[in-house]
Amino acid sequence: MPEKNPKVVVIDDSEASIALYERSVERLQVDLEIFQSPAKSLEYLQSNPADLVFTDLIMRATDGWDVLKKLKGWDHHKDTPIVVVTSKNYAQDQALAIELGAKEFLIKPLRSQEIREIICNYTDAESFPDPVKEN
Amino acid sequence: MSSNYVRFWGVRGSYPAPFGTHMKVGGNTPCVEVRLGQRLFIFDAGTGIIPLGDELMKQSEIRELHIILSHYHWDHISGLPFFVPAFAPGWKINIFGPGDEPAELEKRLADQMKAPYFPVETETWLADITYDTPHPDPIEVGDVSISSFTLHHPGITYGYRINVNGKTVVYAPDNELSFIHQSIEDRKAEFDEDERQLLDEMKEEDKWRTIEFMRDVDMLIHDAQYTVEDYRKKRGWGHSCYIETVASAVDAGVKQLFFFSHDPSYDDEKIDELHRHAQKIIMEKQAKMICHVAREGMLIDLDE
Repeated sequence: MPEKNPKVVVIDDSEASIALYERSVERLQVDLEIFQSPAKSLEYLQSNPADLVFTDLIMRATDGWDVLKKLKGWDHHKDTPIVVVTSKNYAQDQALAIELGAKEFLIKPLRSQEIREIICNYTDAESFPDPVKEN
Repeated sequence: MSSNYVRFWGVRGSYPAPFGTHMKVGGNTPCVEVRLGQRLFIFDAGTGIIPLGDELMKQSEIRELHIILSHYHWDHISGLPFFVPAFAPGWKINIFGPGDEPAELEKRLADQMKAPYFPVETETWLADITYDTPHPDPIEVGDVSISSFTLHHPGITYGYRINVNGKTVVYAPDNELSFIHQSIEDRKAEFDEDERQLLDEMKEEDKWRTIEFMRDVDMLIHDAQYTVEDYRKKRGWGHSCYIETVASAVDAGVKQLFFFSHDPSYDDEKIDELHRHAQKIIMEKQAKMICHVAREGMLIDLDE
């Protein structure tokens, strides 16, 4: 069992998307940090490590592109996996996001199960025991 | 003429449409002049900037201008190699566009003028040219502030908001509204019941989030490129169906909407038809919004 829960950072200004992320980690041993403001997320990430970052692209003022560029410019985040989750289903955006260092470029909406699989793929998150199966 | 106005020099999306059947609307690609006294702002440098440049060379009052680019797709920059003030000494031209640093903007614009694509390069520009990024900090020129926001269009694309005499003008030339709604419908069956409820919330939330930039705007210049039929075929190309544009603008409380980025294959008659339908929609919604078709040469007085 890992000493510390993996830290997963979500940057998205949509309440419903955030609810989907929260739902997806209910059964995972991870610490979820949620930011609706990309600027605030950058303040946090400047002095904190993360094991995985999910970011939307279109947000108010500072956007997901700014997050991608900033994070990859910081030494302590150059290896942090970043997954872009956006409604912008355009090849040009996908190519640019990958060029800027994103590991994956995924189109909204994502099912809770898909989010869980990504978290487990990029971190060593473990699941809580399933009480239904246990009983 | 008022000293504060907006003038349309290019209103077509995608590529120029110099056809006899299109001349009432105009065939040049995006270029919108915003004149605030002696200050001159030019939004996008499509082919519409060419006649604007010729017009500027006939006067001597203004020798400084600001070109503000939404993005670098050809229809938004292809007029620059023919913009005469750039080649003339004594002009100061400040160019703003997406990018991390001035050198990146300069490279993007210079690349379209390199051999073998063009006979002369930007080195032949004699104007004093500066480059800067409009994001995330706003463009500040004297007491004028222009802020940017991200649009739903391939690549990094900005829309702009400018406040003039207590009025707000928003320029959003290429923007695909409500894209996520179809994405949700396409996948809904794969989600469980709780998730489906969240998806409904996501749709409703997205509706309001995507029109936030146009809320209570006095003058909205917005993409209205496609009919319903064409949007079905071209969903994912980064442009809106005019019905979505009208409905969103009404919901956002826009006062005057200007259809922009007209499809180059649509002639005057077809665009008039879309306009009539848009007016019907506004009437049915019992809204007070006025809807215009942006046409080349159209001038809107900002002092009225």
